[in-house]
Amino acid sequence: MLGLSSKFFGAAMIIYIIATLVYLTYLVIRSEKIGHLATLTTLSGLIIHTTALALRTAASYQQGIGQPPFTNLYSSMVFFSWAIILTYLILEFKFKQKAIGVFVTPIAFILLAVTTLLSNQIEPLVPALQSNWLLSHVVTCFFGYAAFAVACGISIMYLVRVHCEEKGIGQGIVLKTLPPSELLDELAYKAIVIGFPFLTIGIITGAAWANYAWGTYWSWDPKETWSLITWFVYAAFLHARFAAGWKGKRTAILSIVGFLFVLFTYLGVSWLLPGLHSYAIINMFIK
Amino acid sequence: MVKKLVRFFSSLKLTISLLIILALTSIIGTVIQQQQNPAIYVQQFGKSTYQILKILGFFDLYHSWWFITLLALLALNLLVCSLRRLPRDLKLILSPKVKITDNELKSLRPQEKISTNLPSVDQTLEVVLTALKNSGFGCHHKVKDEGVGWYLFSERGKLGRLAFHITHLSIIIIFAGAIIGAAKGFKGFINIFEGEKGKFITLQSGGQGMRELDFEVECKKFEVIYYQDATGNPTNRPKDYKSLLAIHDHGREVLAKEIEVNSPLNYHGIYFYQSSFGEIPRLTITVKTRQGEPIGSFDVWEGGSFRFSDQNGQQTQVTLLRYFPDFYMNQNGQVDSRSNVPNNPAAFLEIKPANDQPQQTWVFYRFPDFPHGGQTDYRFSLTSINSGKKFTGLQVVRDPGVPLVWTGCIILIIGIIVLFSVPHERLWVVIADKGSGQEIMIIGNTNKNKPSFQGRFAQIVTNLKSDLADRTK
Ligand code: HEM
Repeated sequence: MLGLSSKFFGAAMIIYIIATLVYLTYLVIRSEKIGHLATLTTLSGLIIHTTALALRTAASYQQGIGQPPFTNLYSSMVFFSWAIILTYLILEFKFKQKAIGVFVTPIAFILLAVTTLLSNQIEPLVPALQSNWLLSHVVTCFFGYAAFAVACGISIMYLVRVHCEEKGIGQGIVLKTLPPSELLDELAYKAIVIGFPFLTIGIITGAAWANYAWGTYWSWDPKETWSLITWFVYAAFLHARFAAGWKGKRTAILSIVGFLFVLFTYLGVSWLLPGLHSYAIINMFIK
Repeated sequence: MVKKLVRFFSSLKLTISLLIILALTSIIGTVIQQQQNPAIYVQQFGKSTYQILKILGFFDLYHSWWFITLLALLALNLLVCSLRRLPRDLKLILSPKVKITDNELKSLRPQEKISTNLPSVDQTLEVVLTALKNSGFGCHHKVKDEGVGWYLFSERGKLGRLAFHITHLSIIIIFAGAIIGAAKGFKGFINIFEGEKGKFITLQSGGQGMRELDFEVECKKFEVIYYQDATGNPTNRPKDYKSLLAIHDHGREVLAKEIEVNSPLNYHGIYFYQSSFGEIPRLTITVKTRQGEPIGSFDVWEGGSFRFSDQNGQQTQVTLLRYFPDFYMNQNGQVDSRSNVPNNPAAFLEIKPANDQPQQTWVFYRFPDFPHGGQTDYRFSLTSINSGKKFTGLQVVRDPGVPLVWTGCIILIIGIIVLFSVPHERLWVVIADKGSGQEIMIIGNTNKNKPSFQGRFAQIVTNLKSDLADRTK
């Protein structure tokens, strides 16, 4: 079952890169039909992706470990890319803007491509990680990250478009393919408005879990701190954009920087920074 | 002056700057490991850099005076900003302005003017009221003005106007909870052997130190459950660990509970979390005289001690200060244990003859023929290492600020969601009697999501126009 789920993840990965090409074609030709085809392709990828996640969960139960699939790097990456596609499709449905798909589907593709390099084994959880808080923590964080990923894609499009407008390069094709800059600016804000409550709930459920597991809701461990840093950046974005009336380039840059912080929180912290990981310590000394 | 200060502390520029400064400075604390032993820092950075970084507070950044000052500034910023806006916002929702002034009429958008030639103001009013009702807005207030005609007002999402205050207040509540926790709480750990009791907590925060509980905790039973492999045999990955704890208050057992990871015990606001476990081996130390005559063998735990007396009746006390299962010298020339596997067991003893200075010495299991005893009349060797006593490791925490922190968090979540999803939308209609026919002004205002509101506003205007046209036919 585990092997089968990996095959399904692979299939989803290929469908997403096809979807990227279809979105690209849609941008150039602007035909409604191709637009629909792009959405359908992404949707079918999502269905296969969902099936793969279900199979992986079932496999975990079969092995007697019994946990939803997002507790090691492999699991969290397949879940993250799934959340990105789901969030994107919801936004596409809500705002009727297909152009963003070109920037979002490749992100999901890349994430899935990286997982093919990792071991897909399901590892049992250390005791501290067996908690329903963990479940809500991971799910909300990843939906937040997914919305920020979409916002980042939109902000990049915004900067590309504005840059081309200013320099007068590629006018024809850029103006024809990318949505107007005002709209992009608005959409990036909307995506962050969706992501921010998720990140907030994610940080809070994480704190609740830490409190149940070892009695401190906040211990400034690098991962916690980085998620707070990310939260600060997006809070700065919201205040700049909504309350102080910043617009355009400055907020677009904040949105991209914010997503770089998300990526670092997610990947960089575990690889580059010393963690405290208070759990799983077996102390042999007693003083 | 006061005005200037208030303006400074309620400015959004300050908010954005503080948030970005907090984000950037927080990074430092994740790159430099926090709260380590000074010796480690000196070795890592060198003496002079160490001094500078220490003054900057980089080794305990999140508790340094300047970081706390930044947080306090943010809290002050929030408070001043919210308090400054509160009277205006309260007035806005408690006593809405039905009669809109000409000035406001000029500044508020979107707006639309419709002329109709219905015979009476009341007829027009009726059409307008129906249209408002159908639009979902309804009409909350209407005032007749003899000179002009009718003033109508309606609004939606009053809560959205307050959400700003709710959200920002929640952060103050969380800060308050954290401050109470830091001032009145404590955090520490205790290791208790199976079958024994303990009441001294080694504190982790606020320097090293002990805290005596006014009751005792007993570990009645301790158990580790391991994951099973495919064939049903246990692996060495722990799945769960559990302790059966009992609280003894004034000599009476008042509470017993089995705790496990993620499920603590609470007694009078003091929580006991299952956080670790371990085993300390029982060592046998054999003592001989300097001439090689045996005196005896003694069992001892790390931290424990034993006494013996020689044929002259001289009492000597020996304490096992440290035990290293896998002794080696690390690159700094310090002794350490390479692992928990007894590859090279070594014990560090303190020997205290009855009327002499205490002396310290090392003994090694692998080198029994190399007995040590320093200047004393005795020679010691480590002759066996036996399976030991199990202990449960408990994290002990009292944090009276926690309920406040959770309250703040829940309010924060609700506040943010309302802030984003409930716009405060207002609609005014002025029906002016022009003698022959009326002039209708519709004015709208929202604090959020203008495009969507403009869309609905335009829809209301279109519907009203067609209703009026129907009536005049
Ligand atoms: C970490 C602290 C803070 C958080 C989490 C926070 C959160 C928020 C959120 C989520 C919004 C809504 C933005 C939007 O609708 O796009 C907002 C708006 C706002 N915030 Fe904050 N805020 C914080 C600190 C502050 C501070 C210190 C000030 C003081 C100046 C402030 C002033 C404002 C103002 C004026 C608005 C606009 C509200 C409105 O007009 O409806 N915020 N805040």
